[in-house]
Amino acid sequence: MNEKPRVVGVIGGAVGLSALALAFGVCCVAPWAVTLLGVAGAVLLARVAFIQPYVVAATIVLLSLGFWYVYRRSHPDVACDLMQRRRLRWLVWGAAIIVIAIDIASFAPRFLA
Amino acid sequence: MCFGSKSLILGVLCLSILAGCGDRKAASQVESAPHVVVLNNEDQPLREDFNRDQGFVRLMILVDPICPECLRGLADMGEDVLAKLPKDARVKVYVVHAPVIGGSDKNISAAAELLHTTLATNYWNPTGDFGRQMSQVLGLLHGSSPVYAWDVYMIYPPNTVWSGKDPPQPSYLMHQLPGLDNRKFPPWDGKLFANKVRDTLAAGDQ
Repeated sequence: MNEKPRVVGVIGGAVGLSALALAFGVCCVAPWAVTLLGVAGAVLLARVAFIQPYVVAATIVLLSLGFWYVYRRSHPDVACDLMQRRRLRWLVWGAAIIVIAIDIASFAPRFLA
Repeated sequence: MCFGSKSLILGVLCLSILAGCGDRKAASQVESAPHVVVLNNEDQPLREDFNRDQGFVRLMILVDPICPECLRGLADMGEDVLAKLPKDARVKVYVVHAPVIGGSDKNISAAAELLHTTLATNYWNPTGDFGRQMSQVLGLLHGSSPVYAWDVYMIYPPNTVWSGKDPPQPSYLMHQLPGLDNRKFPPWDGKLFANKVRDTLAAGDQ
């Protein structure tokens, strides 16, 4: 079975959610929020910002799932595309670095304030 | 559809919901903009207004007009506090806007609309000095470092007079600032603040 769509979906979801976590994390010090979202959007962003730690947790779960997909033992009767699997592992590791960096950055305003 | 694709769609959907909820109409309602008064370095005309309004419970709010947390505070103040007051409540609201994260006087009208009230007067403090002054008055400290006073919500009883150079101490204060001692300075809660306003109004009537 081709793992690529699953891995790309999971990793894409992790990157998207980490961007959302970053938006929540920096919302109180972000001058762009009103320009980008309008006043009502900025108020909504501030109101739902409390879910940021849960969003970060979700990114870690998705990343773990991505690692599980690319490192789990293949079924013996499935033809194994080694090249594709290697590419997917690189993709997951690259995404993990990006997601973890964004997740850490999303907590930064709390500690720098 | 696999689980991975669902999560990707969910992430994108969350971002688009946030991006789509911008209130561009409110931002463009310049014609209905409230009157904004510029504070001078002696806190006038706020000081004059404050003393003229003796006999009213006075609420003073310090915000940046583009700070999302401040806007949330203003929205809560409008919905939880001001909207629930009786029409003849003896309350005045002073909102002091300062450019802490880059807000400008052009952003005030959209922010002020969140209060949904005619009881409020909006002041613009371009130097940000009022926040420093209030920080000293309130003793806002993180360890030994002073914390700039913004995103702060204060109640003054009807008999308070601004007699010295600095603003008087409020009877109650809430904030949305990180690093403050939350036992001394309770974090913002619109419903709790509304109760305190009602208590102050009731005490003033006696």
